[in-house]
Amino acid sequence: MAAAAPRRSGRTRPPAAWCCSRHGPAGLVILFVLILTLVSTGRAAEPPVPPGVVDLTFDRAEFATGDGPGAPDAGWTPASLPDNWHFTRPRLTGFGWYRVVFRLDAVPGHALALLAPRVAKRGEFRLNGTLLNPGVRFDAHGQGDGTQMALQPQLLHLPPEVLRAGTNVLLVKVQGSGAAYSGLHPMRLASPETLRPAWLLREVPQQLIPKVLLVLLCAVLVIGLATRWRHGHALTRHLLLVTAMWAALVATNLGLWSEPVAGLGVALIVTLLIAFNWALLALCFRFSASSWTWFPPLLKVCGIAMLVAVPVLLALGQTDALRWLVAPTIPLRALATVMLARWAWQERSARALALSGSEALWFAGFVQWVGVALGVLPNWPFVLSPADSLPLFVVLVVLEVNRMLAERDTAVREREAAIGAERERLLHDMHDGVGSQLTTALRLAQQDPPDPPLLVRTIDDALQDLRLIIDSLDLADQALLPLLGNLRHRLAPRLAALGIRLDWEAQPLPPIEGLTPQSALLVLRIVQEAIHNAVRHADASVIGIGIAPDPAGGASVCVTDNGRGGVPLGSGGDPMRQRGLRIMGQRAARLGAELRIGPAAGDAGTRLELRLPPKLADDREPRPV
Amino acid sequence: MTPQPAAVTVLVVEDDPGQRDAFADMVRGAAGLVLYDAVGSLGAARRALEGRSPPDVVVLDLGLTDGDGTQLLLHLRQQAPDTAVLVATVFGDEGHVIRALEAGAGGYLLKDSTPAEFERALRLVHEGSAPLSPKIASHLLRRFAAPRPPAAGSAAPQDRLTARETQILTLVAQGYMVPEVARSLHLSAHTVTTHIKHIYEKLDVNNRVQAVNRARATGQIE
Repeated sequence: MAAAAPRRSGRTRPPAAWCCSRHGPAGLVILFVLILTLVSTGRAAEPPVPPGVVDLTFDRAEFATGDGPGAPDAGWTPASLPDNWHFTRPRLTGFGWYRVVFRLDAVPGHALALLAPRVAKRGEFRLNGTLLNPGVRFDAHGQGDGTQMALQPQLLHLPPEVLRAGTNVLLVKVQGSGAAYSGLHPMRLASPETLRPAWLLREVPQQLIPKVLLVLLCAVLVIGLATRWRHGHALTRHLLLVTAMWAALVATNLGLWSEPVAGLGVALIVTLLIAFNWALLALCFRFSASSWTWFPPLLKVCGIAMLVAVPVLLALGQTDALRWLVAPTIPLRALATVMLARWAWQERSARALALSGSEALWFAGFVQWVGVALGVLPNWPFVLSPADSLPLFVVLVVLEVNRMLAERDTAVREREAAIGAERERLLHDMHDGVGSQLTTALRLAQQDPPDPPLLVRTIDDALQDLRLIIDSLDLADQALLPLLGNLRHRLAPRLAALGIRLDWEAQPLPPIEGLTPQSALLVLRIVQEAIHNAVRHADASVIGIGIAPDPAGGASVCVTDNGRGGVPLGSGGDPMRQRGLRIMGQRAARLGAELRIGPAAGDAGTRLELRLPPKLADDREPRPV
Repeated sequence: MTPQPAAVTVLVVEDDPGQRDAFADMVRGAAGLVLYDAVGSLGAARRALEGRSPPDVVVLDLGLTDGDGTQLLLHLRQQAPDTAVLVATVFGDEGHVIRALEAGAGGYLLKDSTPAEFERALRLVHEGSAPLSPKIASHLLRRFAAPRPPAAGSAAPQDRLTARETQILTLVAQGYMVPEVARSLHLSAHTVTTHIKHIYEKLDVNNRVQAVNRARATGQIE
């Protein structure tokens, strides 16, 4: 039995300089990750190990295959750690054994632990025949239901008296597959205090941060769905969809459910990965102000093509090829990283830097994952993914909340502006109508001698005008007809009491674009003034109101009477009537409408026609009419 | 000798003394109308009704000094279902009118109505007619077309308009009066009025609760 010589140091080897030969944005990102890794793992030179203290690193072992309960008797070959089956034994699927034999001069007087930073997919550790990690479940039926240990660094505290003076044998039984990244990384035997920093370096990014991320994802998802359901707004559907897929992927990485190994399971996970990358990259584009407008259509085309390929490959039974469908996401994510970096460089804002930086970190984790899986990256101190996506998620949520707050502020400002404008309009309308009429009424009441009939008429005019204002406020569905009908409904009994018949002929009108309470009030005032003119100045006995759609679009409102006949505008006559006609003309002009006043058919009476265009003039500014 | 129609007794509930006197004078001045009482508060109205047979018509202001007039409306709906209530309003706006209809009012009356209009409105509501303005009709069309809140469950028949009722509301919303609507649909004015009354009943919350209870009692609904 050949004894593998342990090294007496716990230092990791420096990363190879392979990445420097790469160029382009992906190379830059990888360089960035390497720097980040070096910074995070850079440790000062460790002091020499004092005599009597054990600190052994096992980076060489022997390997043999065998699926029995005990280590095989023969077939052992030397193996250097890390050992990646994908390259050293690509055809192996099942169980392999690693054996490390080492000597101790004496039984150490302090507690010891074994650190196995990575064992994939799962493994059992035995030292001198004692099982160090009971409870490991091997995948017995190829269902993917074994314990998932790939991201779980193993810090195994050695029971007392398990070590011997002289020869010690460490056996590791590993279950894995040459098709995936399986195998064993170098192990270290030292005091728990010595190993703890190295264990934390993997435990925190590979276990703790992903768990925090999962909790955060679930919390945002629950709060987002609840507020959306209760208030009908809050987080966008896009972000909620991304969050749900994100949570599912992180949970898969953490091994919260069985690893998909069968065709349908793999198809599902591949579909999830494609959809997630598509949705998340589209979200990143939405939050950026990048000018690459071709990027979302490209994402869409690639996303649809990849998603369509999943059921096709599944139907053809090409389960192994399914995994390669994720490959096109690599250039897409590289493009997104370049796009965001370019936008951040142009904008140079905290928002842009946060989004671009967090996305670059996420991409770096992805590159690392692919690189490690392909064996082009050396033994990294820890796996970035899925912890690398935590900053991106936080940035996206912050940006989304900022967007919502900005939207709410805009809505509040718009509402305040609308309320202010409407208040101004009401004041203006009341000033011109009710206000001036009540002032006249007051003057009439105070004059000597008073003129009771004129006083009553003036107050009545004020009341009628106030009713027009109130009617116009309840403009629904751009419907002018109910407002005009209400005017008729109110005036008809009064006119009937005076012996005047008010005929009515109305056809349904098309919606009139730009019809606001303000423009509706102008129409109502024109029609009311026309009826008043017919009653007060023309001595009419029959007044007809005809409302119909205009052949040119819009609507036509006709007021005819059988009175004494009209007085053309500007041709003299009763100054009050002339003033009324002029104001009607000005109101029609504000609507962008055409007003025609002339003799009725047969020269008996007057005909007023107001032709409203399909789109009324925008008349928001109060004018002195 | 033709029999004289029975006099219509009218209770006026209005807190503004000038308006109350004007209404009371209009009742006194109209042949066939008899003033039951004219009071200015809810409390006074309740006292006026105590121990006497209820009036035929109540002219009611909703904004009274000691409470909301709808309280009296609900009380009358339970204690004197044959008494018709006309709500007096300045503008006839939807806010007031729909609230009054929901509480069981038979119609509304503008406060500046002339004596002739006043008398006509009182006689119509006493005979069972229901006045309906185009804007209220338009409002009702929108209201019945709007989906019910989920809590209310699926719309029961008493919550939906019939095709005929929709036709009538549509024509009224276009500005046509009841006789014109009747001519247009080849119906009698009385039939149109009956349809409008049914629409009012569908609005009346109290009436709807009673309808559901009746349907449940007769096994029409579970």
